[in-house]
Amino acid sequence: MTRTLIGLTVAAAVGVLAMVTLWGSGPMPSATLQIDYALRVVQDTGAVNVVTAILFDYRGLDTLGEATVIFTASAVLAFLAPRSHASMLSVRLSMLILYGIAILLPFLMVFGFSTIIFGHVSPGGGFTGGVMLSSSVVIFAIAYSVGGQQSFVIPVLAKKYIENGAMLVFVAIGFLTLGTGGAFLANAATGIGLGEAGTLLSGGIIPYLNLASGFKVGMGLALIIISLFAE
Amino acid sequence: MTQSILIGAIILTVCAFYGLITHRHMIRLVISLNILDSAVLLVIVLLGYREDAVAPIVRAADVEYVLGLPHALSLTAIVISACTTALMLGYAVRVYRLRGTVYLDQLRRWRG
Repeated sequence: MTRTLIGLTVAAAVGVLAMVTLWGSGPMPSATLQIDYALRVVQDTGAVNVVTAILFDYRGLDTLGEATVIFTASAVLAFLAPRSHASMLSVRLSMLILYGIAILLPFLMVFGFSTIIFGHVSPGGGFTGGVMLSSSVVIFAIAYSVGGQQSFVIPVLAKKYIENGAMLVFVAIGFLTLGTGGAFLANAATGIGLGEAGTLLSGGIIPYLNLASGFKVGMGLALIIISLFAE
Repeated sequence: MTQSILIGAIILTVCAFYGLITHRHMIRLVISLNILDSAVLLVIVLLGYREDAVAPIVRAADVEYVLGLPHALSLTAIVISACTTALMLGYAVRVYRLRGTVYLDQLRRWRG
């Protein structure tokens, strides 16, 4: 009872605080901000998608940290919840679900890969496409593991190798740009050809970083989810 | 439009804090933190909102776009919230295996 009272009090206080903060801080930054990435993103990076350009060019180091977070989470989860017996996977699904997934799976994978590869010219990017890839891997693992017998599109060890390899490729691209005289993960400053904006081979190092982070996120999230339900 | 979304974010924040304080079930605490995450994401995305603007895929010079930076930062926030959720769930599974309960009250009683 007292806990409910404390909860109500604190929640009301937080609400009032948030209201005062949000309405006391003046107009939204979007109305007053002068630096707009959309105005200069094409000549700066050669990419058309502003979000991808910010993630992989202006704030590439931040994205490397983001990938490290997924890396650490999957490593810690593999340590916390070692895969011993998959009781959740022993459920038998109906034929309708199995055949539906068999038809759906190729489309899911193609959609994920196209979201990754065209991440700098259309909506999408490495993280979004990676999540699609991991969802297709996880759906396969849930549907086709019958009677505790696990079957995966990609074996767990291969997933770990792909994840670590993609991480290494990301860092290696950073060091390559360092070697050409630019900063770590610099794009246009290294003198790399930016290409014609809107085409597939544009944006300098952005497509390669997209691919690396796509594989990284896809395999990392698949490892996280599978080690959670394989408990 | 902007005002109503802000009010929705504040309602979500209040609900999340109420859940965090009143519940002692670990999975429910994880759900409360997730609700708090979505409130934060609403505010972040709203920071870049502009009336009658389109998504930040550059097509022509004279079109007004919403700001792209809040979208990129909200992507970071989504990734981190997903990872912390997975870690907390894994921890809850581990605690349930070792102690047989996920209620924090009972865990505290077992400490001595």
